[in-house]
Amino acid sequence: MKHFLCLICSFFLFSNTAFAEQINESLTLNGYGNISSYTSSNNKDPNKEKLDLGVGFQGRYSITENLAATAQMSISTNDAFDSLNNYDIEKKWLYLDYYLGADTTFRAGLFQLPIFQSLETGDIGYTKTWTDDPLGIYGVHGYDNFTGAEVLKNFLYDDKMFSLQFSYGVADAELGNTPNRRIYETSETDNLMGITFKIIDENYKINLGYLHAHSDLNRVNKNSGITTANGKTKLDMFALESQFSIDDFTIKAGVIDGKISRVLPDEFRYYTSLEYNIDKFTPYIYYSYEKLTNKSINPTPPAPPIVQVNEGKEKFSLGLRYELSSNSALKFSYSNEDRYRKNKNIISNIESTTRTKSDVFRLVLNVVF
Amino acid sequence: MLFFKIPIILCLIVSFTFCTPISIIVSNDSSIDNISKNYLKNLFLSKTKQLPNGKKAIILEPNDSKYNSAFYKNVTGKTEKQLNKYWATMIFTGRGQPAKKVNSIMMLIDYVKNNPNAITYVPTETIKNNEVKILLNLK
Repeated sequence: MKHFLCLICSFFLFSNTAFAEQINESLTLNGYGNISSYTSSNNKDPNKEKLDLGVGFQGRYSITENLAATAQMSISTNDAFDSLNNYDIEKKWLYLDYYLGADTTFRAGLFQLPIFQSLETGDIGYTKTWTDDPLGIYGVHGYDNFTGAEVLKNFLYDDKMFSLQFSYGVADAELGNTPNRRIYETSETDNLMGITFKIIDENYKINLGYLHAHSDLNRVNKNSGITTANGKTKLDMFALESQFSIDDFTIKAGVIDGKISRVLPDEFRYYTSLEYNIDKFTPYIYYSYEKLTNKSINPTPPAPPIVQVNEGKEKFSLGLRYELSSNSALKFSYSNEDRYRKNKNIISNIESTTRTKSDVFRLVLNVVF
Repeated sequence: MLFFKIPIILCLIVSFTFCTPISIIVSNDSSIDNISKNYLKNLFLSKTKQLPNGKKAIILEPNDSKYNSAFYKNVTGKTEKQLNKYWATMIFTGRGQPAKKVNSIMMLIDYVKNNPNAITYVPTETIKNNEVKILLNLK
């Protein structure tokens, strides 16, 4: 595996291949790669210095004129400084799509979660100006993909493209299953529903999304193998993202608000960014804010809850994207991250806050092929 | 003297390459008679799969980067880098696919001739007589 990843990385560094390789009339292959180094000034950060490598491959096979199959998988290391043998292989997308006519497509299979751009294009760094996403949204209820069906409908009006996407499916995830924990939770969702609406014009894009899901939570004891039900939870998530371009300036902003009925924290996150393109260089700046409101803790049931824990993160980032070639980009950024955790005693109203500030440097190489 | 001639000849070759007029063509059997540049942009950026007559389009292009860059720059205003960024999002989220590439211009014209739903662009000079219908000329 080590040799394979090294070979892929060398290929990225020294190649300038055309994007989208058409193998024959029916089969197209694509791929992406990321090499990312991370250095933090925070001595308590377990990943103070980190090197991540990741590659992804996608194949699309046209079965008939209207029917096609697509598969996408990714291979990534958690920290290549540690060991290149510690890697994850993940199925990202696996679906059949059928063109129904009138710009309407039905597809069924495995999908990344819709509603927010960074959920769909999570690993494909080349599509983004930044070294890292302003908001750390990698999924909901512990999962970032679902199995089900989607209908996509595009229509043009007054030279603007309108796009509507309906998603329905099931998903499951393991929460907190780490080697040092005896008990972990599972989340099973059998009615995930999403609606995403996009307007795309020459100088602006607007993306509006809503996601709804009910999950069954279970507690698993690794030693005894016993699973006990831990109730149900409901999720409602709204997202709004926009992008406006004026000459060489681009302004982006997004907000996401997730309400979860119990156990898992409510989420509220937003970001705004400004970038300016000068030929191969795109300097940028962004600000992001994330707030997680945990459910009140009840140490001695059935007594009422007494502790409320809120966590948050503010991040400023300054960075530069440089186009190395038509399919690769080198990026550098400096970020100041300020994390806080507030414990509030609901009865006495006494609040204690712990803060962690850190300066983070990132150097990233993104490729698509 | 040759020292001065070489750059001039090279400049002429380069300017000829980039100024080669391009025509958007369909089969003579197609019911479409013209197409706007905006519609063309939406078709070739996979924002719509429908031809102006409502039929599903078979979108093709020559496998030649000089014609590809000239066409996309003219029709979409995007450079190769911008297009790659655009296609990366479209392809990896399953929202669209770029036009299928055909290696030879002659094969491309032949395919379009026999498929009323096919649309492509080729250098105008490669079209013989009235073998296909020209919808738009780009300069």
